[in-house]
Amino acid sequence: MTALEALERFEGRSSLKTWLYGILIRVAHAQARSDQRELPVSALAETEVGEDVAAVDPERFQREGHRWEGHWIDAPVAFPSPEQSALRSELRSLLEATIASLPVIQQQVVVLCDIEGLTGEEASSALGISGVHQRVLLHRARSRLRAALESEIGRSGA
Amino acid sequence: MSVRDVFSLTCKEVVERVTEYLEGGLAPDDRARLEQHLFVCPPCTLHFGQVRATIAAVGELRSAPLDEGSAAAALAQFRKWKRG
Repeated sequence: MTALEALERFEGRSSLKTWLYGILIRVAHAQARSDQRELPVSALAETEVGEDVAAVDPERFQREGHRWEGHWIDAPVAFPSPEQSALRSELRSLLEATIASLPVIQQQVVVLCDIEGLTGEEASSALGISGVHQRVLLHRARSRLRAALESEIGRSGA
Repeated sequence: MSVRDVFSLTCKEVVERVTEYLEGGLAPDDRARLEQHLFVCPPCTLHFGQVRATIAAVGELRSAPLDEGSAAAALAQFRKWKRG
């Protein structure tokens, strides 16, 4: 196992959990690169962060020149409480499918931070990206997931 | 503090700062301005509620047992990796 072989090189510079995640991520990327000539993770992060993506559809805000430019046209709906909705299998499946559809670097950030519970610092260290990039990628991933839930909850009235 | 000060941030700007706010990445002044906005802006408060509910729902995935398809896919990937 790569992790076990590398254990003797572990020098205690990061927590064991962060270090293990780092190895798993590098192995996954090495595999992906050999399969698809994928870019290294730091380059993926750089490319993603360079793109301008809105967290919420810009059409939902008053347009330029309006007295209330940049403010909500219609208020968002409140999500049902977790007891009412989060455990429902359709929403669980929707979240899993949305995570699977995210760019790979966003997937890794959201899985490490919001599923595995790593801090931002631990996740950026494991991925080898800056804290600023980690937050931008987490923001993009959460925005996509929130929009998916909002769309489904609005559609089904869940 | 005037209404103009409170709305020195637009809602469109506020929704782009939610993660920095929740992750403790905002400077104290920016954090205060954002909190002032939230205090008087129910739609942005609802949006923040949606984001928090999303984070909670995603966190619930951790406890989900792997379905048979995912477990088989993970095993297949592992075998492929082991074969090199």
